[in-house]
Amino acid sequence: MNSVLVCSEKDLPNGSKKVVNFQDTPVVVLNVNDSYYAIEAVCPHQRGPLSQGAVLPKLEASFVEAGKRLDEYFSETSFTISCPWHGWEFDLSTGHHCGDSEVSLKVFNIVTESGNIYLKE
Amino acid sequence: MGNRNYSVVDVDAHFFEPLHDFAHYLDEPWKSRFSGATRGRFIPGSTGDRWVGGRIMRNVTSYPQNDMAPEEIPAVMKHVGLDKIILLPNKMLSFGKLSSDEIAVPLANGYVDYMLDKVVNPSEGIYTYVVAPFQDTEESVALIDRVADEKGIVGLCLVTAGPEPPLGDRRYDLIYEACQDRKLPVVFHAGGSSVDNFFIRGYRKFLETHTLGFLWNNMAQIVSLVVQGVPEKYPGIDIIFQESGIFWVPLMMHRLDAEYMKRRSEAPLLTKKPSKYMQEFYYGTQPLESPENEEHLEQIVNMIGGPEHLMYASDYPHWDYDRPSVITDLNFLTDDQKSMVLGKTAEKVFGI
Repeated sequence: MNSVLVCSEKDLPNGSKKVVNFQDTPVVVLNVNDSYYAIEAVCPHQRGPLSQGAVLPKLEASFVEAGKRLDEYFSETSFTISCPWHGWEFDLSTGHHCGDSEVSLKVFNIVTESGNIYLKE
Repeated sequence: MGNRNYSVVDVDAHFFEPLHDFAHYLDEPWKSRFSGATRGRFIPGSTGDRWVGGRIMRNVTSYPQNDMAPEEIPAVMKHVGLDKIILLPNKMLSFGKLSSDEIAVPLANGYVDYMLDKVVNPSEGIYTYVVAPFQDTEESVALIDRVADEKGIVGLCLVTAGPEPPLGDRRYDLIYEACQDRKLPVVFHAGGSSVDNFFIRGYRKFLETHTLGFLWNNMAQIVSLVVQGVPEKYPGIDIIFQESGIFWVPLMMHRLDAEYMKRRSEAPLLTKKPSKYMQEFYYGTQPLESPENEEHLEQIVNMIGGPEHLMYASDYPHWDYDRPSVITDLNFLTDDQKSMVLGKTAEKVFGI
């Protein structure tokens, strides 16, 4: 199967998520600020339920000046989901662990057609 | 050559400065105070019998019965088999116990001037580190600016026993910035193994506190250094950790990685796992562990980045010093790798 219906767009409002199976993989599909994301739903660390994790803007920081506090801020464009078991945090767009890009979950293409949301290869 | 087959650089040996000779290099009123002082009056000592009831002896220098004389250094180099030696004034290892910058700043300045005038001799392969009075960041920077261009100064030393807050704290940023600007490597040197003043009181033998003491201080500081992002803030600095052997490094790499993967948002400046930064550091070898199965040591060396990240260190004349044979005897290193560990890497990093 090259695609699967997730749900209608009205059934996935801003701030909601839904888990579907796609290519024998549980995938969590999320609506964050009216943008859709789809990422593997199981944490690679100890197989925790990533789909149940907190979704937050990515915390970023800049070194401004010697001796001063870092400038820490939330990204306006990148969002993350954290596994509720141990806090492993993944970028929803890339699937990379936020601290180690060598650890990565698969992310999926999302297509909307006729008011419905689909995952496609 | 100090060794028959290799050029040997010792990145961590110690000079036991006579207190009254050194006192002349201090500004008043400290010159007068030190000139009239007895040992241990201003600089804290460390309890514990290094010499195991007379079983360990040094027969090349007047130490430990007396302080050392600069004239003894060539004999020390010949005895150990060294071509170049980087000496750290021994009393400065207690530097971290000084809470008062009123003592630390003049001491650090006086020690550098004494070492440069009486001990250091680059034409004979004798160098030193400048020890930063971390108690006062601005004065540390001033000292770096004053002496960094001296040929005999090859790096900055921060003693890992004592600094609070730990050395990754942003209050030390200006010290690292000055080192980066001056292309001065930063050496983190362990200390602190007293029986009576260990973190936990009640140990009965020096064997116990010496096993733990140096190690704990390096562990405490490397955690702070990495998590607070010093290698990201100042990527141009070569970082060297000394005097805890090397088996502790993979332990801290994996433990830090495990914490970091769960709490990345608390170290947002990092762009990779802590272990990746630690694999870019250098490590003095002494006291090098010698497991029965040498393959275990080989695995440790590979885990911390390979032999190119090791530098031979003797710690002479301390009681547990290592001779270059701890490297030349290793079966898993090639001749080229032994050459790197024994000298070439240090020559490159310290520019000597």
